[in-house]
Amino acid sequence: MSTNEPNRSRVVGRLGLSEPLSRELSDVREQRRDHDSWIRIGARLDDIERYGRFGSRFARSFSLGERAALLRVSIAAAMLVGVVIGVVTWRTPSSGEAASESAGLRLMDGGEFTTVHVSDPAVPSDLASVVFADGSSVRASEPDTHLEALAFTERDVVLRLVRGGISVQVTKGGPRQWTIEAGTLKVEVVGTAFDVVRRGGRSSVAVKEGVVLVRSSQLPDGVRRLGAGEGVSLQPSGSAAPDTAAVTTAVETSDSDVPSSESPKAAPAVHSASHWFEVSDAARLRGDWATAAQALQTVLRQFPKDSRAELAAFQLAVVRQNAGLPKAEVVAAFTSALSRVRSASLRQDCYWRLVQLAEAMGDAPGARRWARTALDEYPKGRYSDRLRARLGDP
Amino acid sequence: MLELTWLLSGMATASAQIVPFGARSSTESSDSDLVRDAVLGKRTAQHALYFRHCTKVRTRVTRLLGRSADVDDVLQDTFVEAFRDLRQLLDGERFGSWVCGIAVHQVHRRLRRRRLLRRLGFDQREPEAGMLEVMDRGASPEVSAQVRRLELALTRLSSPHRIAWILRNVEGCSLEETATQCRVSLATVKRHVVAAEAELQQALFPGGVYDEHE
Repeated sequence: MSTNEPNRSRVVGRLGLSEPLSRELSDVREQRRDHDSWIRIGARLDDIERYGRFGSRFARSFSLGERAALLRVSIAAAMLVGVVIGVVTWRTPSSGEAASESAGLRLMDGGEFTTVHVSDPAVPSDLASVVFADGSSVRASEPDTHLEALAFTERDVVLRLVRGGISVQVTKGGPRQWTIEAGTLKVEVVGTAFDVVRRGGRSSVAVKEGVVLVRSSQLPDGVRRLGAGEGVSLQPSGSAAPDTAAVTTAVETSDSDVPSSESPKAAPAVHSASHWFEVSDAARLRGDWATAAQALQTVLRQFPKDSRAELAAFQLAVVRQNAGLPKAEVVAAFTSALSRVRSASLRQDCYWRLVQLAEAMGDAPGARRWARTALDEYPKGRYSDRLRARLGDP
Repeated sequence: MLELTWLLSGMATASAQIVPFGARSSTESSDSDLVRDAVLGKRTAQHALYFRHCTKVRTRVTRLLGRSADVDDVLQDTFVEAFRDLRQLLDGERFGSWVCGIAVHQVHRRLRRRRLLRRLGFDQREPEAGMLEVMDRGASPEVSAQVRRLELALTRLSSPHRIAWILRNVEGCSLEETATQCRVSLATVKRHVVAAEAELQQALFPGGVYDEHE
């Protein structure tokens, strides 16, 4: 392009057109493009009016014939899905039907379990037993035993012990949870062997093997976990307090029969203090501080004049310390124990622990006070040297 | 950078003066009248509104998108959405800026989708010239090259930064108008513009030395 030839038209573009003509052609192309866009816009607006906002997208994607074919296929698919749902619903029994028909678990002979009723004392209790298809079994262990089936599903077996006693063996690894309702308590198991007795308002369970969960408003927190050799016996009580005197705990060795099946006349209403100390010792050995504390509290409540009551008070404070309760509560426990304890050995132990607790809480003056009190009472006691060292006495 | 911006905005003004002959319907009706009729579903009113504003919208979309293949789709989506939601427009005279705002929103969606496809490896195409399409054809090769560099740098910005910067510096919109078009607050659009300028400075002048008088 030469600036010395202003009158020569500049040749631009691939077509060799003059600039004004090229610009005109570009304008026409733009108009055509805008017009084409308007046609598409108009068609989409028509589809929106006809099919709605979302239907218009569908209408744009398919031709009329394709839409008709898709509609037929959709109707056929919907009918097929409906048939499948109907068949599945018809074949699947409801929970109520399953409970009454024992659809989940049947007896070994294929029959349905509804009830076990042994009323004739002459009938040996061993004859009153049922074995289920998965190998689980329920045996009447007492005369006049009445057991009802409440639910049998693929996941649950619920039995109600109206009265008497049963021995239950549940196959381990099974998919079902067994629940035995026995008046004031409910036993939940997955795979274990245990005995349940319900007699005259009292309900008890003793575990032979495995673990069961016992639920009752009379239990602390409403639930109790029982392992092999453990049991619980509940009496009807108006109170749901966990420390009610009606709650008793029986620790039985394995292979023993259900406590109440030995002789209802011989079973004591309340266990002895020795029994509760044994319960506490066993619980402390396995680290069950809550059970140990309950047992010791039972001793203090039921046997306040027992010679071992002060030991129970001291051990209760130790259990609370081992349970990791706040130090202030532990201090209160040992202080309370001091009010009961007369034994010199136990008192010196209480004082020594109180000194250590005060130091751990950063209460140096409190620690010195306890140390001074201990030395005043027992100047030549077991801990006198250590106490003097803390006080700086010679 | 300032020179480029001046050049591009000048091109914007020049291109906006191109009037497609024979396509505009009655110029006697104001936008308000046309919007009122379009709300009632009158296709002639919608037709008139479209052709009255399509060029401006197309130009803006082209600059923002940078790829002509998507411009037609975005243009159509814009006007379909505008006519579908026309009842929401209270002041008919503001139809032009309102539809531009819809176009900016559509561009934002398209850029976001494009970025996602690129990350997934489905879109490896190089961005096509957008601003070059609306430039004066008499521009020198050097200017064209500079615009190309600028466009490539713009493609690397996030879509909010890119859109805000183009509206502000190329389209010549005020900050308030840019904020309205982008549907963000004034403070946010200022932040976008400043961030975009910093990124463009870094991309075009990585040494950090820039003399606007060069």
